[in-house]
Amino acid sequence: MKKLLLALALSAALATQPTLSAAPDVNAVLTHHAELVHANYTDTLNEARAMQRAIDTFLASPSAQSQQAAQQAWRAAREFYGQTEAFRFYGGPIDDDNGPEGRLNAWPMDESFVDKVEGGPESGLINDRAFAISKESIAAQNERDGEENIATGWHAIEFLLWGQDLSETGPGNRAFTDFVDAQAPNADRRRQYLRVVTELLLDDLDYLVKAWRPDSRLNYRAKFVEGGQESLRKIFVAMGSLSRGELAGERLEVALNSQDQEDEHSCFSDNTHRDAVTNAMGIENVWLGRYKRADGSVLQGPSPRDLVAAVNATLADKTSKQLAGSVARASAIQAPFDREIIGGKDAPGRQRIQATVNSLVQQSKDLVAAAHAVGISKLTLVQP
Amino acid sequence: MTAACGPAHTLPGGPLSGSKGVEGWGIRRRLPRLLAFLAFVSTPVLADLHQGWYAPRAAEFAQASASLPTAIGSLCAATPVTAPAALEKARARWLESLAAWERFSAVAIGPLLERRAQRQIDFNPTRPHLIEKAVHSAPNTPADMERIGTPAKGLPALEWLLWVKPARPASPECRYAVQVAAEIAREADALAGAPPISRDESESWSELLNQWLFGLEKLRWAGMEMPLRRTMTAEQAGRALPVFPRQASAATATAWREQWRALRELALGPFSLRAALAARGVATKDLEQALERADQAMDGLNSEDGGRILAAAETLGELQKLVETRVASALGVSLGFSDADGD
Repeated sequence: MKKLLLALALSAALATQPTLSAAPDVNAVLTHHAELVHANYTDTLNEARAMQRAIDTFLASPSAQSQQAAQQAWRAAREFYGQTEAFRFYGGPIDDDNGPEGRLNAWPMDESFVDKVEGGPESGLINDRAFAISKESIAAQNERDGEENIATGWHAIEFLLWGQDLSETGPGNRAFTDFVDAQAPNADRRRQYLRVVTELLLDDLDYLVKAWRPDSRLNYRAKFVEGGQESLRKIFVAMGSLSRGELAGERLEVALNSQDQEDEHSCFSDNTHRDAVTNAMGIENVWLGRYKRADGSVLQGPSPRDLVAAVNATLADKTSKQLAGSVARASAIQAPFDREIIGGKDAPGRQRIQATVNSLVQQSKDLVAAAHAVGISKLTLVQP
Repeated sequence: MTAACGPAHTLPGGPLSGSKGVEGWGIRRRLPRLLAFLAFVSTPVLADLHQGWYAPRAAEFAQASASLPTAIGSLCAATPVTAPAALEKARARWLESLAAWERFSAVAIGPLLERRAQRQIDFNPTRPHLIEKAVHSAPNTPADMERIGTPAKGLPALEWLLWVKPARPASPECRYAVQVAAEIAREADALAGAPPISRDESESWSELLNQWLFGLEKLRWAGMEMPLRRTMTAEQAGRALPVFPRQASAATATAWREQWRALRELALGPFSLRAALAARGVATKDLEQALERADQAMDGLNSEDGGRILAAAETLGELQKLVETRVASALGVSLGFSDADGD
């Protein structure tokens, strides 16, 4: 009986074996991945520099128009940063023990830690004139005495540009006069804080670009591209962790369950729907070895998908379709996200988010299968 | 139990535990894995997992939680004279429900996982300001309750309403607590009545092992070590102390004990990791010894003894490492992703 089972299984395995393409060399995949990471961080840094210029213009001459230009520059830069989150979760430059992730993108933020809020007109570091504002001092304050005490990064800048989101239909509505002397208390310190926190963000992005630049023999990239199967494992860990625990879980499902604005990622700007899309795009970029740069050119090269396709083309295709489906479902989530999560189980917005969660959970399973196909069976964060 | 085909080996599992590279995909290389797979699918260990493990614990939780709405309803209807006793009865029912829930949910498999029930019933930490907002909205129906977020519902919210700010008879808080309890009971019924999720044996094994590891990580890190370390940091900063889960009801040690009991049973009992290894002819001594050490570390553990908690967490961590590496490898299961992978 067992012989019969074995024969049937062998026959089935051989019959279902799809046409296999030639596998690229793992080192080629790693080298191209490093190129993609560097390109994505470089674009993010360049867009952040554009944001810094817009912020400088706003601070030099505060007006509704210059404020909106700075806000738009923030949104534009986030489009690229969101994609880089597919390079996290394996202790690389972004989030090893010295990595800047906590300074760059920590959330949710207790906004009263930084500036005035409704019911707290004198709260925050900005309104504490005994606190000296510098890159070092605000970095030291970040997450001090509590994870919600966010003093730096994208969301601190977002809060300063938009203010608290107290509207059910739109984003925060901070008046530009908050930055004008004699029109708001501590406007000078608010200007200084926004300028300094933006400089710190650029420093941290620059650090990441350098960690992945190709012309160094001593940086992280140099070790990564020589890391063989362990580096490939890290790529899968990043894709799967962002798919399941972070995006499907912390960013979407928790918010869906809680129906609470506190769980909205970019809550001040109501840009959370784009965070979901760009995260999903980042995962797809890595899988396909493809990245559309800020200048419109497309970087394309050997990919994890190619490695999987060489041993199981059906699985590779299934995974590609699932990842594309997740991007499409995330794109269907509507702004503002804090209204999309409200309602009973049949509410259309909740169903759109749930569909995205379900797709991401399935893609995390597909990625496990894909990793297994190329000899990786342990996708946890610790060293195997 | 059928005998396994293929060679017996000790952990780590010799040729069957070797990982595939991206090269060398010939039949000669596949054959051992295929033989292992056939041994694996012919093992009946998982055939009755739903009936033998899931269903009795789901029924136990449904039975315990069914008494919650009535007990809290009695509190709401109590007079000033009978209120203290009614509160104690409601608390006792909550503690029974909690113990049943911890045993049931320690390893989230089948419908419990599929329905994402842990976040529905056990969102931690609860958010008092949302509970107060929900009380103000005065929900009366299941549809009303759907519009209230999970941080204001479930067992942690009820704990807050029974211990931290105990609901008084005839108060809006008490009426809300009845609705929360009723929703828990409804979900418990749904979980108990849910049919098995259709999966093949290898998917079931993968789910069991991955969820077992997730449950162990939840106990070790989220339940024990992380709150303790935050407490130590807070003490150094001279701030108010964070608390362990279930501390308001003084049920922290009970929760740890029930979770560990469930994990241990799924590691050593009739439907267990050990049974799966044994069915494949893999020696189980290392696993048994690691479980024995963990058993000793967890025995009588309470939330007051920080040194013992850290030592127990370390021992659980060693067990976790053994299962992640050698057990998973011997069973041919890929470790996947879970809710714990974000930050």
